[in-house]
Amino acid sequence: MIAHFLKNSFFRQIIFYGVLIIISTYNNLFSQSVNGFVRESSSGEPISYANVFLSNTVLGAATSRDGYFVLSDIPPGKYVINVTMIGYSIFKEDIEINDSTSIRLDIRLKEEVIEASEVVVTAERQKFERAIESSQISLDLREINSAPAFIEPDVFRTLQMLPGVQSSSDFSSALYVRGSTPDQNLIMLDGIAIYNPYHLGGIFSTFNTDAIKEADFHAGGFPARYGGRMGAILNIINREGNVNEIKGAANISLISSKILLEGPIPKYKGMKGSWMISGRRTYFDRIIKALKIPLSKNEDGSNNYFEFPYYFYDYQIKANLDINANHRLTYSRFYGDDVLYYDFDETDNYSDSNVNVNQDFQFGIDWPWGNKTNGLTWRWIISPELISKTFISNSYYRFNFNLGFDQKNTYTYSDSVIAVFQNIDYNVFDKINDNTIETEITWKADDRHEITGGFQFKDVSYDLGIGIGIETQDTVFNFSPLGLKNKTRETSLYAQDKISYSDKLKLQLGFRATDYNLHNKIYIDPRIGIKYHYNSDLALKLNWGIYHQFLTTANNQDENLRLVELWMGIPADKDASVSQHFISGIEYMSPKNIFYRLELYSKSFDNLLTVKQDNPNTIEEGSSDSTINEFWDTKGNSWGVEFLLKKSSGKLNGWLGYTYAEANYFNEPSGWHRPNFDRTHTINIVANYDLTSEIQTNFGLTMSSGNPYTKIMGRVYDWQQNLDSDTYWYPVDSYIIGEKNTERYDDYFRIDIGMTRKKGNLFGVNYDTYWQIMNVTRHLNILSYAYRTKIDPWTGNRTGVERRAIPMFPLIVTFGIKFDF
Amino acid sequence: MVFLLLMISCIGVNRQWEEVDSDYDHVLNVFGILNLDPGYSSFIGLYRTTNLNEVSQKFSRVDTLYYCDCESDGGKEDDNCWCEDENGYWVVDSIYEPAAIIKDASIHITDDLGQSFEFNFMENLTRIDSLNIDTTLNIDGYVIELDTTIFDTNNIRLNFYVDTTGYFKPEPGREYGLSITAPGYNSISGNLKTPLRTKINSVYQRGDLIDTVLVNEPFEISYDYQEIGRALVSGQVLLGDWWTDSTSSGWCGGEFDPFMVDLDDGDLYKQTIDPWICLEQSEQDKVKDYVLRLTSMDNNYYDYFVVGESGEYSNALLNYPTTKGRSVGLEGGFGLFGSIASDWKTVKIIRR
Repeated sequence: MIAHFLKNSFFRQIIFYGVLIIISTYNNLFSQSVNGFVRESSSGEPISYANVFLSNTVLGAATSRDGYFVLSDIPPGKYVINVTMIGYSIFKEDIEINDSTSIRLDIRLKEEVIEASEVVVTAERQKFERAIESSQISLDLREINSAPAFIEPDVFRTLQMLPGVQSSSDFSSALYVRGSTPDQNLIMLDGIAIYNPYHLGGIFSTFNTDAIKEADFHAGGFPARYGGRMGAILNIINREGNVNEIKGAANISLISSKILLEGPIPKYKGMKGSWMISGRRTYFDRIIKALKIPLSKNEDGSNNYFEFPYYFYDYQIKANLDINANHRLTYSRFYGDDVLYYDFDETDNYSDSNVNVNQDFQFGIDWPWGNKTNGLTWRWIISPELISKTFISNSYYRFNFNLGFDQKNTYTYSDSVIAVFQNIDYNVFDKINDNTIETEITWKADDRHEITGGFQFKDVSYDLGIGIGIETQDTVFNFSPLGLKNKTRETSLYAQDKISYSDKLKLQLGFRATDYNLHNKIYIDPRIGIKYHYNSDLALKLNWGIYHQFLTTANNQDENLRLVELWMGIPADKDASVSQHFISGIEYMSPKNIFYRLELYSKSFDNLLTVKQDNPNTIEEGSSDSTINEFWDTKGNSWGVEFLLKKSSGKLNGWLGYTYAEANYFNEPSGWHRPNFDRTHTINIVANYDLTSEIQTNFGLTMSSGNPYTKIMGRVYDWQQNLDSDTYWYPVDSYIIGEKNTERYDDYFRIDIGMTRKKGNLFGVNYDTYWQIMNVTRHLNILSYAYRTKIDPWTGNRTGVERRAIPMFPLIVTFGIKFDF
Repeated sequence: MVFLLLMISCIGVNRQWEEVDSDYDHVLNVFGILNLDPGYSSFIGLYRTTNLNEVSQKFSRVDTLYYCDCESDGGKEDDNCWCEDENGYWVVDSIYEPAAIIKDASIHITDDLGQSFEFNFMENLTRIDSLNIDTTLNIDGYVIELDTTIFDTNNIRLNFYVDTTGYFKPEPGREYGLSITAPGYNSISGNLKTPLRTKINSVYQRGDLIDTVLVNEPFEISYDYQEIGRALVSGQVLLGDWWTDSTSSGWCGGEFDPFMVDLDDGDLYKQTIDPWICLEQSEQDKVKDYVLRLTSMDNNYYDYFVVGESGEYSNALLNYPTTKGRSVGLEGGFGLFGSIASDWKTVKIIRR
């Protein structure tokens, strides 16, 4: 694959010029500078977006997500370095710069309540001033936890409250972003792609918020370092772990228990580090089992008890090892499973005149599905201005539905034993194995250029199939009505340059080139971002980019609820899906650090694949019963206007968002139509208010247009044939449907409220209690309609059709308790 | 406490069943078959679309069936009469017909020689030759009447337009046109070219010409090559009467999914049939009649029944299937104007 790249003249030129630039500026790599990390004093966690500057100069920088900063090209002299961050004490230290001196500072900030007015530069302002890309937002743990939640805090539920992000229903935490479906989103945990980041069919995300440090979300227009998806990017960054002492937290909610432990790695030969482990498990199945609710009685008088045959669990591990000041290894692991299980066993014995008969019958369902990821990152600070990150990871997702039916009859005669058995196994599975290696180099070439480049090699194997096995005492029969296996490789090179032409004008130019092994072509994705600071508080942004995607899901677009996603690589005979983003926006950061953003976006989609819902021509020679690998070519577009007002500090904080959105898809059988997740108007309000230092309240409101659905218009006879020995046809009474998704359910409306009481103490252990009430107004939000036919019982005559709404969440009250130790 | 909260949580909002109405511009719905099989009639069924809140059947009349004379029979009951406290009474049957049926249309079929044949409405046909509305399932000899609340076809009497003169005899490879006018609806026109009848020549198994098929083993049929055309291969084991024929009990074997063949593919004038495997053991040889059928069809019939409707809409909460309303071989309404021509070959099938 690399050879394929090298044969391409475009790539040869890129490599040539890249090497030339690095050689010509080699000396700059080691100029005088101040660099280092800014961390929390108590835990050692890196602090992002802290403001680092030298007094009485224009030299300053914001810390990266790793807490890293570098101030370059500092003239020799004496300075005072300042580090400020809201919520922390101000750090000041005298430094002296000589010729060719580089100073390394590892700075700890102490947590301290400081009013926002005292620290003019907040993290929000840092993001406002530094970020060029549009539509990006970062949520920290406080924001994730403070948004109204369903039973327990969930990062996806919080993201659904942002403008541009829609949900299909209350039962799904999947993210529909600006007309893109969830399979177009790249969801990462510490940089590792997660393919099905949900529990319980999408009601919960797989990410345990206790372990999360930050969620970095790009609704569109994302830079060249991200690729392989054309919708949105979500990178969940887990906490690194406490470097000072072992700490813990536990959380008990109505459905699950969670625990988190973190602590330092003992120092050894100058090496030091930290670790963090967290896990959770639902326990409803265990509670039901312990309650022993009788269901029926066995012949021997014993009871059969009610069982709840489902649970999910997950755990996350992260460990950091600082080998020395410039080298760090980070290991990250995630494991999460949903398990649905059921088994039934019945044995019967009886005797006839000359035979004893033993009948054994077993029926079982075993359905696990989930993710397993492992990642190792090596960060190397080559010089203060040049940092490389090499990343190797494996992400494995599988669902494996097994249904077994075993029957065995044993006939015992006086002189012989005969056993007759029949075992039937039915298996549906989808397995994805993603191995990725990636190297990224970030180089602050000078005060005008920050260049990021790298490559990514992604090897993904897909195995989607159905297996049926039948075994009897004299026959073994296995067949696979569906067996789709493909192995794809994406080899990508990318580069981007963040250029500061002036204090007012900044550019971000980038490209990403990907070779997809099933297609004999290289896909080029250019990305452009422009930012113009009208003044220190007001900025205009433009972003444009092309985004290719090399995988899709083969789920029915009209399914009422989605339990799992069926992933597959883009086939060799289909072009890669492609989307073009155009985003323009205006941002305003008020002097009181209230952030306002108005964005207009337009997206086009092409080469989307919509799985065919049925296969009417199964009697055609060569056609299969399954349509899971048969698609309608689909194209689409979306556009919208989004407004965000966000206040991140103070007693009252939160955000208000409004979205006007239109999405349109086109394929042959349905024509142009609105996808079923499309909501035209959406208003979201998330507010948190600190009543006292111990009591916090939160409030969430969502109002939106109803989702589209397809209306039934009338009835007609459709006909079926029977051409066996006889000939006859028979009518099938059918509903005539209207144009796809031209009707809408009633408007959606939901208010959630919650309260957290802090600083409780039980036997010396601190705890917080929290309450949540969802849908306090008990508003009927319609998921779908169920239909029935009115029938005259005497004549069998149909007299009409009735429907009843299937509601989303009713009023739900939940509570939980969280311990810190 | 937890359960109290869960109970509160389960307090749902009040949901009522509501009537679904529709305001639909109705069109005619045609089911017309020109049947070239010997002894089978061609027919045109004519219906219309109906509203959701419209009754599906309307009362037509009362048919008097017979008189139960309880006095002359000595007051004894039989299978048809209930004579308790009765001297005798007339048994009548209330006849309903589909609300969708159209009786007053003018229907003509013309051939490529310019001859026109008028089709007239025939009411209350329960059977046209072997064509009937079948609402039963036959499973291992059991005849099961389908639940009308599910399949809703029980009381539909066949009310078709047929040629009552006996002159209309469609021929293979000819073109035919259809015209329908009905008061209050758009006119409908249609056309088709009838298929060529294709003969099944022989049946082979293990490479030998056979007259008896062994279950659980593939076998081949050979048929005539045609310049154009497609045909459906189907088959059926004739089980007979389960009550009188013990070998019909628990029969399995010989069944296969009907499939299409291209008659113009000269390399495939032989077609292999892979029947479903029967795992059940048989204590004695069982032999049955086995009917193999090759049904040639015109393009319209092929499009309607084989290609089918790409119904890209599904909703598990709907209690009936859906359609956008198909129109194959027709203009001006929904439905089908198609034609078939079949050949049968009966052999034996044996389980051992």
